Amino acid sequence: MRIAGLVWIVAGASALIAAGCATYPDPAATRGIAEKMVSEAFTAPSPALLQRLEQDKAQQLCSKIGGAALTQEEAAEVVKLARASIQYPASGKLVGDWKVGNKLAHDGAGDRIQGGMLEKRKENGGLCQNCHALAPGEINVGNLGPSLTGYGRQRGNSEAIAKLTYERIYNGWAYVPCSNMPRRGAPRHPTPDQVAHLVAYLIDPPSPITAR
Amino acid sequence: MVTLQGFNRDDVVKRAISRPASDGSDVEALALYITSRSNGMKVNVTLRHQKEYDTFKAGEYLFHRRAGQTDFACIQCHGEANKRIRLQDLWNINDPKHIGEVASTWPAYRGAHFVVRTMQWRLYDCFWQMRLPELKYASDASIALTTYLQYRGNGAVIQVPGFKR
Repeated sequence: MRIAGLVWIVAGASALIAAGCATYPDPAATRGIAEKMVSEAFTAPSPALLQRLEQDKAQQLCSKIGGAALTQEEAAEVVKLARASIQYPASGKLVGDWKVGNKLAHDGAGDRIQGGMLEKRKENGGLCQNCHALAPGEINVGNLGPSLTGYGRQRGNSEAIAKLTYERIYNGWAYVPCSNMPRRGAPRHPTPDQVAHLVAYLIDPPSPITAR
Repeated sequence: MVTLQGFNRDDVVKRAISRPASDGSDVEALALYITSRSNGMKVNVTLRHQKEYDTFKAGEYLFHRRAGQTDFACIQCHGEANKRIRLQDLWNINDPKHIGEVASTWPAYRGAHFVVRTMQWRLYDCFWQMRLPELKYASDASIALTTYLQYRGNGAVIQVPGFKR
């Protein structure tokens, strides 16, 4: 049975070993086993918070193992769901206050669950800095996402760029299905108004991200 | 501990993750002592039993299962080379050296906490940052993820306690 590991590496989930030996469960069986584990493995202060574990349709489609590609139909469905999710601020203004956006972009806290309590804050952070380089000269920035330094300088601040930027923050899967970028607006975290502030931080000419 | 020594499981689990700068918990001490007996040996997770296969495959599934408001699974941060969250380097599951280190250096002394932490704590903390509910200590899901990671790290030489930031 030592060979089982090698078979897995070579043949993946289709590995079937001779009778009497253990075999990999099929994907549906694995899903059943794992989802039962998820349903039993977590605690939260309220049932509503426990629901965070439940996957929506897009998340299910975006959870392929080992980076397997989406089919064309699946990608189209993720894009369609993403497009349908996008909401705009009640004011209709897609470009808010860059100073507020600046603060949000550098705030990585809020809404975490620990010790049976939900982290309560007036306003949850935007988490941008965790993954993106922001204004020039900032050192404490992540690189999981692309650098945003000079974002507005390259693209300008036209209405079309404001709309594109807003939508890509609100639900980037409308443009790149299943990208690593969290759909920031989709579960209303941050809110449409906060997304507009982040847009301003990215494209408003006086913002440090854009200023020379 | 429960069957032979009469401990209450809930009490043990509740105290499993100790306070920072404390003397550590019973579970942390036991995990480190037991793992340290394998120091110098290679990680060698076998998948002989059907339950081991099932658990490994469940772990692989969970590693890729995106959920919550960050839309993160483990793979979003641990699937590419040379990635960071802020200044914190992230290990990459596709890099044999990285996954070997993951499999062979827990429990580890965590400098920022002044205590020894177990991989159970590491998993818990990731889910916390992902804005997901709290992972129960020694839950089946946590063991499935651990099985997946340890199997992927087979061959690495165990050296505990590890040292972490």
